[in-house]
Amino acid sequence: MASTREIRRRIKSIKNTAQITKAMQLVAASKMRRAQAQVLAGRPYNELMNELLGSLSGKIDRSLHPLLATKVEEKNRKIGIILIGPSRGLAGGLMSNLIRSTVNFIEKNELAAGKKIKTQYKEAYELKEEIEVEGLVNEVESTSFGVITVERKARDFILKLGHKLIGDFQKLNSPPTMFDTNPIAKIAMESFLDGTFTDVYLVYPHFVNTMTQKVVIKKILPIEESSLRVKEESEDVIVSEYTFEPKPNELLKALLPHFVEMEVYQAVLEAAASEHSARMVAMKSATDNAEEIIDDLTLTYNQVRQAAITQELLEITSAAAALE
Amino acid sequence: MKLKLEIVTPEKKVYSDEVDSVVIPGVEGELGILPHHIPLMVQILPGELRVKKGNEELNLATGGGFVEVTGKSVKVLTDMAERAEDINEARVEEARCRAEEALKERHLSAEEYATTAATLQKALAQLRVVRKRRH
Repeated sequence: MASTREIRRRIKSIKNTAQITKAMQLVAASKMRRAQAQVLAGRPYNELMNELLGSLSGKIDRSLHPLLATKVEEKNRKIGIILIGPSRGLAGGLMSNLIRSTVNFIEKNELAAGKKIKTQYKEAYELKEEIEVEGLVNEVESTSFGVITVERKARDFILKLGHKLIGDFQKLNSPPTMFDTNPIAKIAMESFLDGTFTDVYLVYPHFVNTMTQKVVIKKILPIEESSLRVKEESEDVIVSEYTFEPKPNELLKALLPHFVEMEVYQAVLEAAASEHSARMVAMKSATDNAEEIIDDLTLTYNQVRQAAITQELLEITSAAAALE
Repeated sequence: MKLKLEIVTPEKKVYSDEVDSVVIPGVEGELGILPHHIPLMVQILPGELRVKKGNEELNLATGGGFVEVTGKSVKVLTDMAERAEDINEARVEEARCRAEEALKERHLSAEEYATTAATLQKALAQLRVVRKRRH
């Protein structure tokens, strides 16, 4: 059995750890509240925007705006991904879930395009934390994927996989604003318009509730009818044709980029809320575990101490008995 | 027959109710919307949005955005919607001065210029709404 001094030292060190995780839990909790309020407040706008485009997209000429046009067949697709990750680690399973979904998504599409899957993917995501970046860039080049990453974790992972990095956004404001997210949308739209990508997907952790975050892969470009949610109560969508003011092409020129910007903005909000929630929960369970270990160790410590005292008493009394 | 009016901004759902009529600040001039209006898709400019419900009239200062009109509903998506009574005139006036100065003096990038100009437009819309309410 370990000596009392050793046990005391361990208790002390675990207490320190518990103190740190507790502090992180409190910080994450307050950030989480703000981020959750923000993401929930943003949803009605996003939903209405989706409805509006949903009812619109079936009734307009798709050649009116380049962001609507689907121009290539399955084989020549060049897929772009906007991957939104957490800004720091220690957020439980959030990043590994994100990585798993991304890898699955990429593999599925590479298979569909008739490409061999690189075993490197598997290795890369086993090493999910603390990825070494240097020397790995451009090792693999034949991939048709280009990625725009948001926050460092996502970038490190993509570099490890060897995909083309189109843009890298870091240190967004907390809470994120449109000033942070509009450049992301802009790069995505530009690379779509100049043909770098034929499809652009958003990949981010969707905030369900504090305990649950679900990775969502959502196609944002080209803007398709199928990607827009069909409205449930369809009583007022039976509209044959819209009158536009200004003219359709002018209105779309303003509306569609705005739609993409809002989608990206909302996704970043979702990711932020997910991150803080996941971290809060992870830190809470870390604190709970630490406290449990401290309880266990304290019990052991008392037992060892008592045993030592009994032992000593025994020695003294037996020594005294021997003297008589 | 009433119109279902919804006004949302990225920050919150500002208004959702059944109303009699709405006047919106479209890019090509103000539009009055009554029930059974033909389906319409409109871009709006920073300006004044007037809502009529029974004897009540509500004025809101809105930013730029989009409006979808069907015969039964009006959906307004905008980056700002402030009720006249919530606008703090002094603060808005200050914001207007700042924006005007920035536009005049500094060398702004195209993006900054656009943002500042938009801020100015919004401030002007708010001032218009709040001053009208007072008179």
